[in-house]
Amino acid sequence: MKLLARLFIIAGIFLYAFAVYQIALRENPKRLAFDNYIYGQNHSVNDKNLPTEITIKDLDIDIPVYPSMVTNNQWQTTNAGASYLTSSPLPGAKGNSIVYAHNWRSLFGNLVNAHIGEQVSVTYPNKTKKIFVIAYTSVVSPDQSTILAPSNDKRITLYTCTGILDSKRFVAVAILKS
Amino acid sequence: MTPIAATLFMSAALPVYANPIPQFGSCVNPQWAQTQVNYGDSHGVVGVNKFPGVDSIYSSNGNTMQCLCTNTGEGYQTNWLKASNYSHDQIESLQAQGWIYISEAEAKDSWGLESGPYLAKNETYACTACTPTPTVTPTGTLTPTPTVTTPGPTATPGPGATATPETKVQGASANNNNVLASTGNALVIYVSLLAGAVSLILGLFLKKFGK
Repeated sequence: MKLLARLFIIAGIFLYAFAVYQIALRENPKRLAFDNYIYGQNHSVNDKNLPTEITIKDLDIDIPVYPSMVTNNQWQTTNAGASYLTSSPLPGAKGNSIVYAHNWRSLFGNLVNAHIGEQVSVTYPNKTKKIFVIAYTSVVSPDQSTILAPSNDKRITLYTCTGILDSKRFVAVAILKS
Repeated sequence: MTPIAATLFMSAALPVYANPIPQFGSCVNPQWAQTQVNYGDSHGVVGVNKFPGVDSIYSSNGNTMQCLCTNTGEGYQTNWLKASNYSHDQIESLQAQGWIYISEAEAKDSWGLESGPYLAKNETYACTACTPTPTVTPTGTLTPTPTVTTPGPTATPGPGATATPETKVQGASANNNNVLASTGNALVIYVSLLAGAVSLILGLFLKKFGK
């Protein structure tokens, strides 16, 4: 019985430590995350002339962009920046480009404060920038995947978790500035 | 473990309908066929008020999505569900979830919908405020209230039209499970704290009273 009691206490301490780690990660991922650690994928940021950085000055967002895929119905995410879904068009090309990131303070935590008219800048490896203007914002449920559907315009769809227990998704759609 | 628990929770919390509610989508990126775009000073939002702005109507299988972008940049999405497809019990259940029942007479007279009762539910979004123009709609009607017509082959996308189901434009294709990425860890935090507390209490209890 004493052994069982010890096991429960150790498990409890471990779970509390894990929760504290998760809270710290949420508040400041740069401090605790392993550098360039990407869940489930090893890749180079500069592959195939993919976007490297996303900046929204009004929201104090300036983070690197990493390519991501959905494999076996699992979305790849990273602690180190934003994820660009490589099965969507390149930002600036015709269609709907998808970029998402954790709602942590140094990633897309401020995205929920986005307002119509604010500018989103996407940087490419050759330092060229594509400028987008936020045209829509919305809160949707996680099953509203139509926000990812193709579009006739040149748009970038940014999203992150929001709501109680991160049960919703905050979506900001920005259209390429002509 | 967390996804399993979440799935069990969701399946227990949400009623299962013989006739499921269609995916209306979002006014942020509508996918249904656009049937009308109405400009004017007064567009109604069911249960809310009337607003000036641009009112876009999308339809599919008798259901309608109304996207009103007001002149102040507030967006109202109203999902119009054709109630005749649902039983009395299902309608009552949907009303309990916030859907507003619109009788056949009201649907026809006040909202210009095709025959039959409807259930309506509003959502909000933010959009780019537009200055109203006197441009006439593609169907040639300038309506004081939202007028919805039956989707037909003659429906012409108006200004601001986005992708229709027929449109083939490059987009995200890897959403087989129809859910968006999980980009938060709040659930993990709360579950860990709760499980940690339970484990500690149990451990201390056993240590004190266990033989």
